Amino acid sequence: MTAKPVPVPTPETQPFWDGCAAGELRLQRCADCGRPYFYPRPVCPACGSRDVSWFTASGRATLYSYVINHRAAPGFEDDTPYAIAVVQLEEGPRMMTSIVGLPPTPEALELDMPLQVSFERRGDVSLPVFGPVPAAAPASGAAASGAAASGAAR
Amino acid sequence: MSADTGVVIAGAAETDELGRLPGHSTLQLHIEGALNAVADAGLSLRDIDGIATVSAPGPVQVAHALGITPSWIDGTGVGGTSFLLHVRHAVAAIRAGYARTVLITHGESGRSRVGAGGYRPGASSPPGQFEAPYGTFGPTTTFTIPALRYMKDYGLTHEQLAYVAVAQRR
Repeated sequence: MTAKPVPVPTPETQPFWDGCAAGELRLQRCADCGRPYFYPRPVCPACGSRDVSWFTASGRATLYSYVINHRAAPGFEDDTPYAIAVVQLEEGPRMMTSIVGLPPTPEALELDMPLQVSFERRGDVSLPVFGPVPAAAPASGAAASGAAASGAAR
Repeated sequence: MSADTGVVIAGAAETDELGRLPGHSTLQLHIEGALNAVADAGLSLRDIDGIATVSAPGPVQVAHALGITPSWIDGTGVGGTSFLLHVRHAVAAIRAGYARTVLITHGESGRSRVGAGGYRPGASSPPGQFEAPYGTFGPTTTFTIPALRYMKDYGLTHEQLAYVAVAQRR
């Protein structure tokens, strides 16, 4: 069986994939017109400026739209039906992704529902995927240890 | 088309058989359809001086296979509308004097995949990095996503979309 496609970064997209590996969703923003954008490229698609820089997005998004796919792409034979989605990131750009942690049904997938990024290992990269926002996490636990980890990294 | 441009579609044809054809490569489908179209036009291959076809197998392979040395070629490949663009480009080329008679070919070994390329985009391309990893596979997985959003934003219903499919079958 064909394996699922694994992204191969280019020099222009490497910082995005490095971010995913570190558990961060990194976007670019234009210094001239101020707009954040996706997918990664060294020129602002809104104004053509090359003065762009990376920043870490919140990872929060809403469900812009989706399709429940029953005819597997090669490599996805064991996953059908699966949801392919486009999410609207809190910062503005939209991106294609997979929906995880929710059944692939119209009842479970309500447009504009809040979603949160997580990362799935695929070959050499970590792939950003989106699922339901965790219920208000207790002060201790994953959120706190995550903050400690990123603090230690600085 | 002729009234406005002075250019005519002189012939059109399909392969000898349609359907599942494991005995034909993709290129052979082009060739068979091309020969039938040239015959339908009452022309010979010697009359053809322009070739237009999508980038795989491409106008060079088609021209070589038919023994044509074209003075004008077009390999525009932008999905399912490519052939409409080939006709427009051919009209422009003929009016500009780049060619007199253009052959536009297409063939897909869609099921048998004989001599056919893969569907998967390059793993370093933007679709290869940011779409294909999520299991996209052709129009049913990509054209539908904006359609669903449109339905919510504008109140379009499944029933209204069904009218389109019914009307197109008439």
